[in-house]
Amino acid sequence: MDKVEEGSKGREFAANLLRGMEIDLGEIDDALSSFEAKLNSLEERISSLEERVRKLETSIKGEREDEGSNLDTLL
Amino acid sequence: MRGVISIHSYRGGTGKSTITANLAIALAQLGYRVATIDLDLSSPGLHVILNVNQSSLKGTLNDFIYGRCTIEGCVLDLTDHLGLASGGLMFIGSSMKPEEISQLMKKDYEESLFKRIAFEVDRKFGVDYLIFDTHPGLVEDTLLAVLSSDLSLIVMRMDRQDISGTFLLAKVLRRLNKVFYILLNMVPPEMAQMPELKEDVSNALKAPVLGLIPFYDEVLSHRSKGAFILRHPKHVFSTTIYDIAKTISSW
Repeated sequence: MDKVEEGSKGREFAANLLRGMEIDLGEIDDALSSFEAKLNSLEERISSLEERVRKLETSIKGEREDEGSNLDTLL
Repeated sequence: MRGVISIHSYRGGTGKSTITANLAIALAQLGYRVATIDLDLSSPGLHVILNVNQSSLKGTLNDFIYGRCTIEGCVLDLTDHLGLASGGLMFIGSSMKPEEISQLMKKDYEESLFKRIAFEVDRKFGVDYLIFDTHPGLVEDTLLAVLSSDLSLIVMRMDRQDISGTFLLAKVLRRLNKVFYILLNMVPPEMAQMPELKEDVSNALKAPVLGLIPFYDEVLSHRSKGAFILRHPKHVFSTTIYDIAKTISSW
């Protein structure tokens, strides 16, 4: 049967690993900002495409209604 | 054993345990023998998704760590319980008893504990994959689990807090020379359609992206009532998990 041995230092080992790491936090902030900028630009492109699709749909719908009323006149 | 995988995230609520349970089942359905261990020692919950009651656990990971049971005594074979026709699924749960959580949080354990658990589970049950569901954040327990794994998956939402924290995790794992992938989860549907998204995330975090799972109301509404993949195997969430399982098994 396995037991936790007295003097086990797993967490201490992990904590020491973390303590020994120097991380440039500014680099994280910069990466987040540039990634956000990219996402925003992608979102804007999608919004603009969606807007174009909406306009096209409205225009097609309008043309169909016109055709319908022309047909009514003819009939 | 083909590999030990740890599923991790910087923040909580990323869907880490949901992905662990569903991925473990998907791998089992591909014919593999899988074991999954709840290493979220201070807030265990994987058992709920796997439809296991705490009271039905004969032994827990806590019992094994403190020598109260052997590895056989705390492994629960869920293959029949979940109605899996192929492979196998073993589970080791962690205790939800407040005094046992507190005990485990206070006392240190050996550095190679999780590696030894993986070895023992494989020796006694012959598994292909062992999956650790870890506690979120940069905490010692999780770091030890990641160090004991062949592969880590960092689950990330497209949330600024997650992105920034995942960047930090990625830096730490690179320093430790660990193999890891990012798994995007709960991605807003309009964002999930952006063809460049995976590549952009990969470039920003300097880490490969294994998969992208959009946000689905159906998964949220499921409320962890068992594994989603078993109830809705044809749903896009499930098929994405199957694809990820197939990719992992192809390595």
